[in-house]
Amino acid sequence: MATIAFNNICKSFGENQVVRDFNLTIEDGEFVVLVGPSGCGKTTSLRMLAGLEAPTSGRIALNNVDITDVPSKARELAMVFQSYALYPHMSVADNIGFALSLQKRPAQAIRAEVLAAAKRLEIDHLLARKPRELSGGQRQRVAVARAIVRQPQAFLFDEPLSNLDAKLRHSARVEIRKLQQQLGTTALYVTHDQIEAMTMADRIVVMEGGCIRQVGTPMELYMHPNSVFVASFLGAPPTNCIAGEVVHAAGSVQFCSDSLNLALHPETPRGPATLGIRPESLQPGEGMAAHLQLQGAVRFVEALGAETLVDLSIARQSGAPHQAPPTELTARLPGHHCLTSGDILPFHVARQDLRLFGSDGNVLADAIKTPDHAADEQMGDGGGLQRAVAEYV
Amino acid sequence: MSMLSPSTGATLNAVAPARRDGWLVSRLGAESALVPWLYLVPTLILLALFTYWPLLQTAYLSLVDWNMNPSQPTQFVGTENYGRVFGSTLFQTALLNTVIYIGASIPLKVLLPIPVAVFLWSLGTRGHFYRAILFLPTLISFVVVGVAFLWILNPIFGYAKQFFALAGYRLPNLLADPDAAIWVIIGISTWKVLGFNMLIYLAGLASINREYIEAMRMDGAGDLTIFRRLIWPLLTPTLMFVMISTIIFTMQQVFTPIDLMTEGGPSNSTTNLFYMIYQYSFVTFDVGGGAAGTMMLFALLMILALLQIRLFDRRAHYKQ
Repeated sequence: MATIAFNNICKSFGENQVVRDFNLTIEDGEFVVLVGPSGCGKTTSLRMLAGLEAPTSGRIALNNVDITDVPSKARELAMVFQSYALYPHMSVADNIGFALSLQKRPAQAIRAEVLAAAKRLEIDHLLARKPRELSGGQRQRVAVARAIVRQPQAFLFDEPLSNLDAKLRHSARVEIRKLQQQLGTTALYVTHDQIEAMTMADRIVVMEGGCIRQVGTPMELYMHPNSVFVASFLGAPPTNCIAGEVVHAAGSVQFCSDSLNLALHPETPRGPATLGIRPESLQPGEGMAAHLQLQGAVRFVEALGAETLVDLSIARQSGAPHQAPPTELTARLPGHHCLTSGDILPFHVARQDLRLFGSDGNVLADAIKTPDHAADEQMGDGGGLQRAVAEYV
Repeated sequence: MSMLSPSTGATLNAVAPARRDGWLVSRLGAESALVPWLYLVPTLILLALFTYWPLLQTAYLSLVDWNMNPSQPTQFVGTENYGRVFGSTLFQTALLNTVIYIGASIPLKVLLPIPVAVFLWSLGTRGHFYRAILFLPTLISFVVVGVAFLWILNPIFGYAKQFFALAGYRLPNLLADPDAAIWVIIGISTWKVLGFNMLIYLAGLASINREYIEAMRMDGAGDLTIFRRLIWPLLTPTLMFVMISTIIFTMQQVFTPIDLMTEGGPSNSTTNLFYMIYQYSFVTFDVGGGAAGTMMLFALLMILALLQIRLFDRRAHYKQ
């Protein structure tokens, strides 16, 4: 068990800087997930912690001890690779016990520990097999067993579920999380799958372009994204983003787009902005007067059984230029709905479920709050969103 | 109706696609047991003409007395040629030399390229330059190599003599020394084949997933353990190929430097079985003796190949 600290880590490959000023502290026993699109630097950050890549600058500490220049074999970290990297010429038992054999442990002790790890992962009947004789799920279990048998300071996972099918992935992520909680070992987990991040992490680190965009618990990130990137990256379907502008006119401040106007806090700075609406925040029917009211034409319906995804086209406002395309939104409605293409439906969104992002993509935290709607905010208190998040996760 | 009318087009489209099988296959029917053999015919003809027929002809010639003169009839002598060749001093010397050539080729040509390849592999793209330099000798004709080394090692005006003289040593005439000449040939053939075998090992190394090495590092292994416990076992299929091909090619390849540089001498000290067969068949025109030598060499190579497969092949890890 260990605390891990990345301090001002930068990594460049030639001219290409892949990690910039990466600062992160992982507490003892914490499960932290690095998530982001391909090429955002998450795997490179993990590999630097593993000692497989050297940082260009900055320091890495394990239990407050600088390990930046310590070779990976001496770091006491265990890693599960994306390809599992099981030694193809060794049996499952030899794969699991390899690290112990290097520690010159007695053969009998190694056998006992291998068997215990294999039983824990329910692969004790596979110990004599070679990796090529195993299924993808079994290989993944062997890789995890190989990691836990060493009782390392921390587990490093590099997209270990990406080669599994959807059903197996679900059960595997539950098992990995349960195992990590039982062992209480610190874990750093890399994935591009935001569902894995949301369901497994104590804290999520969202990365983009080599930089950390936001760090927080899954709920913090989902409910209070600090940028358009985080808002649109977490959640499936992604947050609806409506491009528009903050306009100061006739004593009022409004967000104006081709399809809607929204009153904002008087101190909201003018300029281009993006309004973010989670699909589950779009509620059918006409809500309270304070709610954002929309009229949408159904374009496409995806019935998923427990929920229905509805693609909507929001009509242009009378003043909007004709060449502007209609605003398209996705609504996520619980249960089954008999909707057909072309149906016109009223929708509303509670103000506290709206997020406004400035021209730099960062959230304008108080923009949605206006004195007139404080009462509405107190009533709603984000309950709808919380329920939706709970359902989603 | 016009030929280009839509209805004509529709009719043409409706026709089932024509079979692409050849006339003979069409006649036999695609399911006929003869069809696979038809596909094998070109290869079988080539093998029969250039491998099996010469082998049978050699086996026949090893049992007759003939001096390659078309007007002289062959005379059946049974196994007399085998006894005569086997009992000759030349055969015994050539067999011993062949064993030396093979024995030396395993550490020098089969094993030495492995650390070279691993080192260049670890350098990644930076190793490409050295890779090219080491591979260059493979591209040079063995005749050119032989002549060049004859000049270099010339005891009167060779570069080697001058180089040694600068260092205060007198270089002996290596090619005239019965103990040293064979090692000159071995050295030259090693220099020539090292780059080629290194390239084959590099191909074998390239097939090893780098994540295995990283996983082993994470497990606590150092460079030597990684080589011993991972790279070596995964390189065994390549090693098997290099070993078999090197042994066979060593026997054939050194023919050129032997003929060019020593002509088998001094005192047959560089003659191997290949060169002995050449001498029997095309120098003294003792076709029966040459054919008997060829059959014995064939048997020796078969035994070697079988031994290799029995001893080493089961230890090779072909599947990753």
